[in-house]
Amino acid sequence: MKKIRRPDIAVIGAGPAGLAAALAAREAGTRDVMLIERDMELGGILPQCIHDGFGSIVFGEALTGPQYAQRYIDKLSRTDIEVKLNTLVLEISPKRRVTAVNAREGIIDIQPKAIVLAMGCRERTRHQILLPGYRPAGVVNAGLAQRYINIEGLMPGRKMVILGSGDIGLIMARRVTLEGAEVAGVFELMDHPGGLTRNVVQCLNDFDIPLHLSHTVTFIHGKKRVEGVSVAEVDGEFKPKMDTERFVGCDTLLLSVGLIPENEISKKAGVELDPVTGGPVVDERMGTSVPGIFSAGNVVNVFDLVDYVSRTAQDAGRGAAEHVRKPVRRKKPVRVLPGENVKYVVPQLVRDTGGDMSLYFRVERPQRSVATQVLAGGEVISRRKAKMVRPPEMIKADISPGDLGDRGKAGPITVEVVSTEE
Amino acid sequence: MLEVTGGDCKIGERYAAEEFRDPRRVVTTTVRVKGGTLPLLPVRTTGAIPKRLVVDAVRALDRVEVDAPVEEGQVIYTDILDTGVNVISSRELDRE
Repeated sequence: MKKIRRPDIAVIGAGPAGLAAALAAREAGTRDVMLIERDMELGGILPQCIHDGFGSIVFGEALTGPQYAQRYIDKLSRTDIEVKLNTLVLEISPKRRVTAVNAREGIIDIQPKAIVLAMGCRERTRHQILLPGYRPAGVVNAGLAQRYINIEGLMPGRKMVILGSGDIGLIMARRVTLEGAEVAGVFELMDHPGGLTRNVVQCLNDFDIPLHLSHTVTFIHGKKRVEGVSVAEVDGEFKPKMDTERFVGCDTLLLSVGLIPENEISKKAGVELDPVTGGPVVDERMGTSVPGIFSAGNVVNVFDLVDYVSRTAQDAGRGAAEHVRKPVRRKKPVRVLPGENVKYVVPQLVRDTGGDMSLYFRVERPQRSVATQVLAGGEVISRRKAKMVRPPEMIKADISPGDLGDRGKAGPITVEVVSTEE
Repeated sequence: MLEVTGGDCKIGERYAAEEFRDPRRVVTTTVRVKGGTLPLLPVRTTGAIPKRLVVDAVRALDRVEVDAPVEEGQVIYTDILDTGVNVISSRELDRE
């Protein structure tokens, strides 16, 4: 008879979210915490993010990805949290039965009292954006190229075109240039850059790499190896204007066209997903629609700051610990709705209107001279001015118990952006 | 430079002034490792160096090879290009 492991909490994924959640659960008093990771080491995506800018909120310093990970890895090594590396979770049943596998133990059956889903996200592929052309070698996702270059010591090519100006594309433009490759240009579908302004300056401007807004790649040339791409300007509906099409020679196309929360396992477990975020619908404790299953990090929605990942993951860890201690029937939640120029808000639900909480949200389109505000029962309970808001920069609104009061119980909470221009 | 406008915070103001007068950058790259669990070690400068020295700094580090094991924060290169800034390891790396 195969033995079933019964830890109190199983955390799926040991990136920044999983690490913070496991540590928070342990610190909250949960005895038996198991951390499951499919890769050969802890840290998730952080070990390959060798650039700095991590931790300015949590640690007050601009650390590199590996440095940020090391802080949590060192803390973890001083606990008795069980870590399973090189172990892949295949499935979680709606009754919280976890099926995992590794080379040493074969199939492992785990029945924890609570689960934290922290699987992170994956990159959108060439096929998902329907990019025409043959299938030559040299079409590489930017995050994969980052792993090749920074972990494995391999260069994907010598002359690159980058599609997408999100932070990963910008960071890789700089990285490949410093490693001796040439970047012919970065092409962005939207009329504004996808990443932080700081990255446009330090990764493109510093190296005279041209940024072409309102452009896309229309064809990949080459049968065995990429020989070049066709690019074209796009119109107001993002359709290529074929009379602007031109050829750009290159041997590699790096794709930075979006991140998708990795929720295959969540779906099988019966967790309700939000179609806008791509991740589970969560409450302020990062609890999902399935009692006892919590969720943290990029699998909930793609954050821009790892600091926010760690903070919300701690909420998930504490939520899971509380569930193990005393599984109670949850209060009926109040909905949190995205209002004017807000694409989505996380958490989507609030159950305990008497506690401190942070709402994380993104705007739909850039806007200048605004105030972001939170409304409850039709009244503004929190308001902050900003000279500029942009989709790539997530915004946080903090709410304390005094703010909500009875208004919170009445109806939905709304987050919106209003213009402050006269 | 007369004044910095359009920003929302004081840190941004200082950054903008510095970008104008004396732009500096933190440099991050990888160096080769001998006998480690991984072939490369991520490193970083402890502070920002003048922007015009970034490419030369990376070239100087291309020639460096370290022996495992490496501790986080271990100095890999002292005083890069006479800037007074050291280059340190970003992580712990075990021996193979």
